[in-house]
Amino acid sequence: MRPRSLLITTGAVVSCFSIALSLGVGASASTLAQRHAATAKGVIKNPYPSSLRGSFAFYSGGDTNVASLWQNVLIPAFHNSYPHININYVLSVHGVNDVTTLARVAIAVKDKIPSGFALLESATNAVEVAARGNLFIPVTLKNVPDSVNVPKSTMQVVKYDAVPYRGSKVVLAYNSATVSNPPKTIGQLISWIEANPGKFAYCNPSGGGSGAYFVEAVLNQYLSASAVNTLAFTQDTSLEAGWSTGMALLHKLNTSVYGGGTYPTGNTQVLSLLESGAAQMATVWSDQSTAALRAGQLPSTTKLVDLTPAFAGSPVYLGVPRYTPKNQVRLVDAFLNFILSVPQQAKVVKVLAGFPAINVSVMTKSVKTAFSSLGESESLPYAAAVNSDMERVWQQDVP
Amino acid sequence: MSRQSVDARAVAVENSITSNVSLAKEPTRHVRRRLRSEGKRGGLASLLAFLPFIFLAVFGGIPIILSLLLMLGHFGGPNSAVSQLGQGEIPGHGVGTLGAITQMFENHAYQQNIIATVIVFMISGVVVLAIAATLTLWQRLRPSRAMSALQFLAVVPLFIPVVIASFTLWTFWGDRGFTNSSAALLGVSHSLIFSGKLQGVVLAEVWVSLPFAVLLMRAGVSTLGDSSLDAARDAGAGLLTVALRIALPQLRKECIVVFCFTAVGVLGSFTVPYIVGPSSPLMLGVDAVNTFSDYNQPQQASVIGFTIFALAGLIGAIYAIGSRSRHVHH
Repeated sequence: MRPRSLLITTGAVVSCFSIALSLGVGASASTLAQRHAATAKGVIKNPYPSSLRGSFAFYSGGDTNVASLWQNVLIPAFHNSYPHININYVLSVHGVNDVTTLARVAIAVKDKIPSGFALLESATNAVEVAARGNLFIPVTLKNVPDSVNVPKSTMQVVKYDAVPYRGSKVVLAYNSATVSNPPKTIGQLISWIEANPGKFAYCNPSGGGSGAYFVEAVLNQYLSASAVNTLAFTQDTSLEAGWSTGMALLHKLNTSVYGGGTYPTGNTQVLSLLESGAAQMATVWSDQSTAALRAGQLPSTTKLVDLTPAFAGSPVYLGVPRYTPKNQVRLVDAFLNFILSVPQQAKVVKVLAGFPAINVSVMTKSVKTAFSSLGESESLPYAAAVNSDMERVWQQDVP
Repeated sequence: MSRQSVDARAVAVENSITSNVSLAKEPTRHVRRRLRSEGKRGGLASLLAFLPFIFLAVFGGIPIILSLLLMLGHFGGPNSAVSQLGQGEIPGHGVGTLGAITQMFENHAYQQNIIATVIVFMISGVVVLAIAATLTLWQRLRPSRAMSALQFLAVVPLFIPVVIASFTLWTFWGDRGFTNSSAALLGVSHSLIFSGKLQGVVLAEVWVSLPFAVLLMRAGVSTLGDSSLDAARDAGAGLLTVALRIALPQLRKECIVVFCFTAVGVLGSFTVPYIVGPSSPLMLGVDAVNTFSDYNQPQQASVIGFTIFALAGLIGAIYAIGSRSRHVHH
């Protein structure tokens, strides 16, 4: 054969082969996705084909373990199932840009234009505030079918305008080598703190949720159940006036807590106090402390336990701003649907040591046993605006 | 560039190019002609010189004006997005309201925060100045290997990120840190803890600000003439007298600069007091961030911002008064 026609023939064969290969890969990817959907309990049909193309920007405010979960686990897994969708992942460590990003989205929604981000996650309560401010597109069973497994109470907090993808709750950590009889209720915990000065630490509520939810638990002791339920959803300054008794008690506890009233800046500082043995008992996040125990960063004698009633838990929400272009919204919905599927939620448990956003009852046996010691009970945290007021009043009255 | 300096430059150029006395005697006509052509070149240079000012006015000045409007209770226009989500807002009509300002200043905790901030930056400024002056003057008057090594060490903090340094110092001066453990081992004390206290903030701010101060003082000390120092030594003055009464007065400008720059840096600092400092009283930088992000009160946060401006203005006044040139009386 002449060299030129040989070249053409080779080119044709190679291109046919590569087209066949990519089609085959695409086909196997979609069957993989379908198989994933089929193995989920209740067989939820996945309406999003793996041939979807496009890209969107995802703003994520969170700690380093969360960033690692997204960048090393969930986004690559999504890319395997949907190879033509690109996610532009924008990280803001500890959520320092949460408020400014929220303001930017608010301006864009007011002007009825796209905000530049198709998906938002916040380390602070910015997403909840935005959801309750009608800045997000509602999450329906039609566009995110896998959200059927998410408990209704967590969706009601954000009026169905955002969806959680993981959760964590605050638990009591104590060193079982030095604490033989750990407290079982909030009242017993306060008595223990007063009887053992300098051994219990909780972080500044503004700096970490583990301290904030301890403060809320103490304050809620002096509020009626209906008041607590109202404050979980709306701001009510008349009910907030009932905090004075709880704040006075916390002020009295100043001399009995670690350092005679030294409040570490955030969650990780409290964990390092437990690690060095400076504190023997503290309120910590379940996912951070479980991960630290696994990594050997907490003494092996550390135990995690729930009180009755349990400390609050906080799901972490994802929201889609209004006026995001419709094609991007479709891609984001495919992503949300993927994240809420059982295998991905299992990764949230295994990698981050967090709670899944979906009911534990639909997950596999190994995941269920991982939660046997901690249980599923958790209280509702305060609404975002109420949380801000609580932090301000704590700073005034307590330290 | 001002008209005056262009004139001066034009005359200087004239004098340097030609030694013709007649030209110097008749500056007006020739200078004017030169000025016109100089002016064209000077115009571009003037524009370039204005660029930093324009940059500062747009990116610094406009936000400051908007923040002032927010503080006075004007929530419309560019402030609408921030105030839409804010809490505890006090609206103002007409010129504005002083409600936010009175609310903040009547608060006892806020008064404590202001006092704490002033004390911390004054003490930090003085301590940094003392250490930098001691190190550099000693090396100048009694040079030694040990002193130059110490000066080098004093500059090392410049290369360590402030966040990492703050966390490290928090551990070092903490309950299980080096200082407390050593004190306990030596039987001196069981609570030599500086973390979580204002003393820790001062120590950490000194650590962070020392390199810049040492570099500045070193530059100033190197300009000291040998003649005055040698003359004093020959007259029988001791080391301390030479340093305090001969060398230091000549370094007045450098000392003022070191004190003021350190004080302003500490006034506006956030990272160090956030990590190393106490929960109460708070430094104003931490209080501002908490008020804006955590308590979701942007209007009150702008009050804190302007308080910081006012304190910085005080430091600026110290700088202006201190660096006035004195007339030397013979």
